Amino acid sequence: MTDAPAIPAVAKQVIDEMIRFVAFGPVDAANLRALAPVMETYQARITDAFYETLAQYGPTAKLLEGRVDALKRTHAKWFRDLFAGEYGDDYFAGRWRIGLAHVRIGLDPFWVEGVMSMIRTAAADALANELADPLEIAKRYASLCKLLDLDLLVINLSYQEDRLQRLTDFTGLKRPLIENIIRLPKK
Amino acid sequence: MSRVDTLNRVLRGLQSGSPDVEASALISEDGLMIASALPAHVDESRVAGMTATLLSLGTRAASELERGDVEEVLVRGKDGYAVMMASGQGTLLLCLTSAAAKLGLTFLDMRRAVADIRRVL
Repeated sequence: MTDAPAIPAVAKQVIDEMIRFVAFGPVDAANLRALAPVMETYQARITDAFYETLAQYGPTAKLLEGRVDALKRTHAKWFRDLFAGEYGDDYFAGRWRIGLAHVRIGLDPFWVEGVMSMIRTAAADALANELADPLEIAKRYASLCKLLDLDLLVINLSYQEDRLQRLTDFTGLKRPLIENIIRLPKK
Repeated sequence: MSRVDTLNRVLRGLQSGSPDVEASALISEDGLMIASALPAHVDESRVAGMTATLLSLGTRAASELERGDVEEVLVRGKDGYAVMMASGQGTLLLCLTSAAAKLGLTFLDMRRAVADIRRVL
């Protein structure tokens, strides 16, 4: 159990629709589960490389100070969950919390996009090294890309939600009013 | 007579009884137009969104700045005033007046119109 806010209904609807839209299903779950043993052998080095890169950039390096080991543990769990084969509501609720955690520490959303790009590249290298059949690589990598895109969607939605909520809290503007203003045609 | 017709009549009455009031509108707090007596060239959607935004901000500002419950929000331009006040049931009343308007009288007339609007809503 956690005190973290659940995914709001509107965001959950978007996530469910996108899961259907990209046709992420049991075949993908099986593909990802099959990758677990392969990716496990790469997890530590991918995580280390990831944090080494983050440490090279001012905005992200500052956020790592004194907490790299804890963050690496969190990252390892996130990484393993990608290949656990379980992608129900709990999975996406966990991703939502990760997004909120990034907001809390002040990491701008575009860094998460960069991170996902790094993970894709590292995973492609790992699969190319470990699997022989190009068709198998293509299918499993496609499933991983779908899931990473869904992860990114959820994390970005949590950023959006948090920003909108902060705006609402500060200004007193209700959400339907903000949505109606956004829908107004540009002058 | 429908409620919208009655509300339009309240707005027209406000304008005919207060020569300084040039236009008026009843808007939902979500920024949607309910009834209006605005000039034809005015974009009602924008007026509704802007008015609801200003009253929301004014209400929050009054609270944050420890000025108590907001009574009205006033914007003064060179050509006149825009006056906004809550009118119950999640609605707000907007009046646009001339620069020479007697604000005390405008507030009074608006409160009377608000009382009429509350009866209709």
